Amino acid sequence: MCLAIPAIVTALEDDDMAVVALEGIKKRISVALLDEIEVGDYVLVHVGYALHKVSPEEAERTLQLMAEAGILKEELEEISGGAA
Amino acid sequence: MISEGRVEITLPRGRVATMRYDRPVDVTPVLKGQAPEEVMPLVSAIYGVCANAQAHAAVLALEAASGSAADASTQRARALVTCMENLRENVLRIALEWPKLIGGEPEGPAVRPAISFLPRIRLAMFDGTDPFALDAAARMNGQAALDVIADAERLLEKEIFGEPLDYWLSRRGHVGHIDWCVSSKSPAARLIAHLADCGWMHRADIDCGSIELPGANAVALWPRQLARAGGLAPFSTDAAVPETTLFSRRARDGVVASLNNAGLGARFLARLAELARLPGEMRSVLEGGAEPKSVSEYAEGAGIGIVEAARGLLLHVVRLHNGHVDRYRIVSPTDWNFDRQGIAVRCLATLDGHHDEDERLALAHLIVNAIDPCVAYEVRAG
Repeated sequence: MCLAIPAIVTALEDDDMAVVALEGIKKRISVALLDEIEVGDYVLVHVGYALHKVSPEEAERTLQLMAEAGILKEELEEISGGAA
Repeated sequence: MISEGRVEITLPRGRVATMRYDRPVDVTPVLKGQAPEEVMPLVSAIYGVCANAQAHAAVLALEAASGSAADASTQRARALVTCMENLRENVLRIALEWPKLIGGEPEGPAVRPAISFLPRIRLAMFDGTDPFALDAAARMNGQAALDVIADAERLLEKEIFGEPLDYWLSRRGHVGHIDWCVSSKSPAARLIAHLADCGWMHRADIDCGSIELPGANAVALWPRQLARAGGLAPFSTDAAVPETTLFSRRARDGVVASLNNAGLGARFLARLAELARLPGEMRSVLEGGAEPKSVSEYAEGAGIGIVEAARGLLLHVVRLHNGHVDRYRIVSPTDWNFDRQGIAVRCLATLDGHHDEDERLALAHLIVNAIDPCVAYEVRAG
């Protein structure tokens, strides 16, 4: 249902790619849809693409909500390859 | 993403295809006990991708439950925001995913401007305020709205259709679409050409009825049934579950209807028809020539909100008790379309007995993408 988890950008790579992390789990994504992404930015990631930048405050609030809703643990499994 | 839910299709060699749909984690418990004005920020935060459609359905349900309603201009402004989200989402799906279906690479940079359309239309309609707050009031800048709609139309013409939208919408039948495929080299045209080359335009031609808005039956019947069951038992278990897809939304559009079937080609063309129609429909809503297509209704003790989201109808049902949320239910298009009696299973069943396993796998991918779950999916050979 169109959930998107905020993740922090930890590295920028060539070809509009970046590495994002959440709770220490890293994933390579495309940032081709966004302008002016920097290391330290929070982005909403969906099916391998960063869709929006979000403020650190907004990211923290969303992650807290997702944890309360029981979403976050399973999202982390997905990011870490726990599910195909 | 697994917590969004997941669709898994398995195609055992020589045997019937199976489909498993795991619904997303139910997030509605975090809404229980909240005051209505606290619900929309939570919904928007959790459903980050289609946040506007979700918040729109939520506010319509909560307004109905509270006995309130936004004024007409605010309703139109909200509708424009949700329409633009539909446009953005389907542009991204086509540019990022359709090329992969035919062995190509995603074409993200070409559609990057689409990311800006949604914040621009929100600003034009609400001047920085929250469109989906319970006390929202539109502050329309009509010219700014027209400008972003025009930019969206230009992007569609350049990157998706390769020709003016009106011209594309005037195309009819197989010959008309093939002519477009020859003249346009867009990812969308290449996919349709691929379907035609393979003889797959008519594959998976299944009709199991549809849910539509607006319409007396839609408003009077199925939302009330949902509400009566507390939003917990939406589907019949002994009959085909009707579909709510972009095909069911655009099946009567001439560009789709002229194919006279509900096959793969018609389904992919329906998504294109949605995109080609949206700019004109947004202008019409903006200028007051068309009413927003949504439902906000109180029935059986519950508020019901329904909007046309990017993949079909999105429904929120809420019951309030002492001014706070007592029960909350969200039914997504995927819940209907990937139900075990839904359109996806029925389309996949048409592949039974298909002897070319590679082709069967490719067709299953196309069927799932054409119906388009809002969750991750996997198609694998058994």
